[in-house]
Amino acid sequence: MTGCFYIDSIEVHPSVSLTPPAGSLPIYRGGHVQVTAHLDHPDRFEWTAVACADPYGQACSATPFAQPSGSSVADFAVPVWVSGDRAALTRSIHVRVTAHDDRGALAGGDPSIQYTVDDAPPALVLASSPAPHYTVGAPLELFAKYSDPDDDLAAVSVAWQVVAPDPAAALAPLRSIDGGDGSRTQVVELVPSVTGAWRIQAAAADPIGTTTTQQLELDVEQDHPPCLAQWQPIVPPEGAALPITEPTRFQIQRVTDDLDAYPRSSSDPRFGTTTFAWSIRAGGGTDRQPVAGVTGNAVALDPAAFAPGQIVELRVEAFDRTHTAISCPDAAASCGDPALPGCLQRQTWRVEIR
Amino acid sequence: MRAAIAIAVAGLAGCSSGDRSSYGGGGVPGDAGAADPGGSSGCTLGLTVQPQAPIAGPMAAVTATVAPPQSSLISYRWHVEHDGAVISDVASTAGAIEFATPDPGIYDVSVTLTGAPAGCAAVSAPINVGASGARSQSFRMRIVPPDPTVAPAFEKSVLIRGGAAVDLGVTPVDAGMATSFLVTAPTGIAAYLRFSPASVPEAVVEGFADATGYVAVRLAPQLHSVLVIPTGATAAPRRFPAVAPGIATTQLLLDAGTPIRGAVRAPDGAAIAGATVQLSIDGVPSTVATTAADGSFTVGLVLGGATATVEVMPPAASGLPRLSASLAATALVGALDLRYTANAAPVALGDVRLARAGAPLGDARVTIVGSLPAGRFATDATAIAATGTVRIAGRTDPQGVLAGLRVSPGPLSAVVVAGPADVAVVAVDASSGPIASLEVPPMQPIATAALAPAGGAGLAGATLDLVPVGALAAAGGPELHATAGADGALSALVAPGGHYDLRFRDPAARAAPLTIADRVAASIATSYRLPAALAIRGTVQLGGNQALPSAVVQVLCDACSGLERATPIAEAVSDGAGRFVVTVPDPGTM
Repeated sequence: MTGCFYIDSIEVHPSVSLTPPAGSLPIYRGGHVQVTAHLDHPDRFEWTAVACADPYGQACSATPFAQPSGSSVADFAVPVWVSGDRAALTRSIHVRVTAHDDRGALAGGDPSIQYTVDDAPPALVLASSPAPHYTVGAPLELFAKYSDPDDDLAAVSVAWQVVAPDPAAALAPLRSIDGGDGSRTQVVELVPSVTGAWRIQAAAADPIGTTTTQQLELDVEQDHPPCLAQWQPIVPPEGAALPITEPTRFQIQRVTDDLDAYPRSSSDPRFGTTTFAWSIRAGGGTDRQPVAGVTGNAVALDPAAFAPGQIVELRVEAFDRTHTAISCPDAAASCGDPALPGCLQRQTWRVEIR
Repeated sequence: MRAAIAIAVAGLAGCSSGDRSSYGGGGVPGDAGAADPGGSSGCTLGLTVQPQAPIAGPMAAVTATVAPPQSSLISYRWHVEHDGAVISDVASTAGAIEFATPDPGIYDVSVTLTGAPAGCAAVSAPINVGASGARSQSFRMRIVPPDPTVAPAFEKSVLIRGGAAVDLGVTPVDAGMATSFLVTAPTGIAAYLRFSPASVPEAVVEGFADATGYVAVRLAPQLHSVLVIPTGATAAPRRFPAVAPGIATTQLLLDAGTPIRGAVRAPDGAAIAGATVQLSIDGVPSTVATTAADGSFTVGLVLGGATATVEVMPPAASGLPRLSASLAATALVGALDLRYTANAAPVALGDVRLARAGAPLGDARVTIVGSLPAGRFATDATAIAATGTVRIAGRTDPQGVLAGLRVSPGPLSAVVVAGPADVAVVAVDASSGPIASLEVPPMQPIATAALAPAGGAGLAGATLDLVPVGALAAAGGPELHATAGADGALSALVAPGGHYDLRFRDPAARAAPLTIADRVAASIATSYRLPAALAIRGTVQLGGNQALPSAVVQVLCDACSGLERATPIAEAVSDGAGRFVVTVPDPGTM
C-alpha cells in the first residue's frame, strides 16, 4: 500500500555566535572594531554595544553607544568616554547580538563578546614646507600634525630627531599651531648642512608613553647658481641693437635663488642677496671693462658719454654666495648652467647710442 | 550719519591705470581686501567699516559689519588681529563687531558664518587705522608681471599716510590685449618699438620688429604713444602719438624724414671729417650721419615738436669736445652750420708728470672731463651757443708721464685711477699752456655712521654705497661700499675731490633707505639718521581675481625726475598668492 504523509515544517530554534575581529586587535579608544555575527535561522536580530569603565565588563554604561541592525557585520566606533559626562575612560566594550524568531524564541549559543580597550596612541603626520627642492644652508620648516583621541593634547609631547645623514643637526622649534579640529601642529626648522637624503623622525608620546613614530625623507641638493628672471630694458634679439636716446637705467628686476634672491627674500641674516658684476665694451673693441665697483642690480648708461650711432655692449653676470664661475666663452651673450635649463647667469644688452 | 565703505567679495571694481589711491588714512583698502572661498560663486558678502577713515587713539574703536545684513538664524565667529596679536576672537549672534583701536596700523578682521548660504561662509578684510596727524606722501607703484606676454607693466600713483603700516588691498593688473604691428618703409623693416600708455607714459612696453617688420606685444587697453626706431639709416625714427591696440595688425609707416643738411667745422673754418652727427626733436632721434671730407652731413629727421637737440661727436684724435645744443624745432630752417669756437681749439698738454709726494705715478689711467662753451650752431633762422663736453683719456708711462693729449683749454678735471682702490680727482686747466706736473693726493678716509630712526643707536649691518657723480662718474670712477659694524660705524677711502651720492640701506629692514646727494669727503657728516620704515603690503591679481605670483613690485619716487625717477625706493616680489610687502620711508606724523 502506498500513501503520503504530510507534516508541518518544524520551526528551528535560532542560534548566533560572534567572531572576534581578525587582525584588528588591539582595540583603541577612538578607534574602530568590526564584529561578525554567524546567525542561524533568525527572523530578526539587533546589535547592542556598551562601553565599560573596567576591563572586565563589570562597570558598563546602561546606555548603549551603538545599536546597529540589518547587517551581520557591524563596525563600532569605540567611544573614548563611557558616557557623555566624560567621567570615566572606556576600558572595555561589550557587544551583544540579540536574535529572535517570529515565535519569540531567542537565539542560543554565545551572543556576546567583551573587548578590552587600550589607550589610543597619538596620531601623527609629518610634512615639510613645499619647495621645488631643498638646499644646503637654506632653512626649511618641518611640520608634525598630531592629535590624540583620549589624551589632552597639552600632555602629548613630540620629539624630533635627525636620523641621517647628520644626527647631530639641530631642529629648532619655531611655533605650535592649534588646528581647531582637535589637532595641533608643531613646527621646527632645519638647516641642512650637506646634500643627500635627509631622514627626519618625530615621535609623539602620550602621558602613559604610548608613542607614534613617523619618518620624513627630504632630498637636499647643493646651492644652485642664481637665475636672472626679469630685466629692463628689453634685450634685443641676436643681430639687433637696443637704441637708447636718454640716460637709461639697465636693471635686473628679479633673480631667483635659494638663499640669495633679488630682491632679497627675507631680512633673516641667513639669507643674502645676489651680487652682480657689470662690464661694458664700447666701440667694437675686444676689451670688456668692468663697471668699477658696481655690485648692485642696476647700471645707468648715459648716451652722452658715447658717440651717436656707437654700439656698446653692456653685460651683467649674477652670483650667489657660492660664486659659481660662469663657464661660457666671452662671446656668448647669455649663459647659464647647462644642468639648469632656462636659467641664465649672464645677460648682455647690445646697445646703439642714439 | 557717518558714511561706511563696503568691500564686495566678488565683482570688485578695478583701478584703471593712473588712478590715485589713498592709503593709510584708515578704512578698508578701496579696491580690495576681502577673501572668500565663495567669491567665484557670485556671493557678495562683504564688510563695512565705521568710521570710514578710523584714526587710532586711546578711546578709538571700529565697528565692522557683515554686509549685506544676514539672517538672525546665522551665528558668527569674529577674529581680529593686529601686529600678529589676537585682539578679539569671539562667537556671536551679531553680524557686527566693535573693537578698540588704540594703535595705528592694520587690523585684520575675519568672520566665519554658520548657517549662511553656501559660498557666503566667511569674509575677511584688512582695516587700515591711521595715525593721528599723519603726513602723507605720494609714491608711484609699478607692477611688472613675470612674463610680458601675460600682462603689460602697470603703474599707478598711491598716496601713503605716515605713522602706521598700510594694506593697499588688491591691485588688479589688466591682462591687456595681444596686439600686432607691421613696421614698413614702405616694405617691412626691422625696428625697435617703445609703447607708452597715455595715462602712465613710464609703464612702457618694448618690442623688436623682425626683418619683415612684424612685432606682437601685449598692451593695456588704451591709447599709446609709439616710438619706432628702425634699424639702419634708410628710414627716420618716428613717434606715432595715439595708437590704439586692436585685433587687426596695425601698420606703422616710416619714411626717410626731412633731410637736414649741414657741415661741421673747426675753429679755423676747416672741415672736420669723420664726426658723427645726430639731431632729435622731443626725444625722437634722426638718422645718424658721419661727416664727409668736406665736413658735410645729411640726416633724416621727422619734423614737428617743440625742441630740437643737436649732438656732434668729433673724431677722438681731434682733441675737440663733443658739442651739444638745444634750439626751437621751428628754427631748423636751411643748412645747419656747426662750428667750434676759437676757445675750443685744443692745446697740447705737454708731458705732464703725475706724482704723489714726489713719487711718480706710473701706469695710471687719466681721464680729463668737464664742460665748457665750445661752439655755435647756426641755421637760417637762429644762432645759438653750444656746450662742449670734454672726455679725453690717456695713461701715464712707468715714469708717471702723461704724454700726447690735446684738450680744449678751460677749467676741467683729471680723474686719475692709479689702482682699483686708488682714485683722485685733480683740477686741470690748459688755458695758460702746457701743464708740467700734477700732484695726485692719496685716497681720503671718511668716517660716518648709520643711525636708527629713533633713539640714535647705530644700525649694525647697514650698508653704504658711495655712487660717483659729476666728473668722477663721467670718467667711470668706481662705486664704493661699506658695511656698518656693531655700532653702526662706517668707514671708507674715497677719491679726494670726488663727488658721491651716499646711499644708505638696512638689509634688516629696521629703517628705510636714505640717499644723500652730492657729497665730497669734507661734507660727509659724522652720522646720518635713517628714516623710519613703513611697511606697505598688498596683493597683486591678474584681472582682479587671479593671484599674480612672481610679479616685481616697485615703489618709485613721484616727485623726482631723470634717472632718480626710474630708481626704485623699494622692491619686492609677489608670493604664490600674489601678496607682497615693501618697506618705504615713513612720511611720519605732525
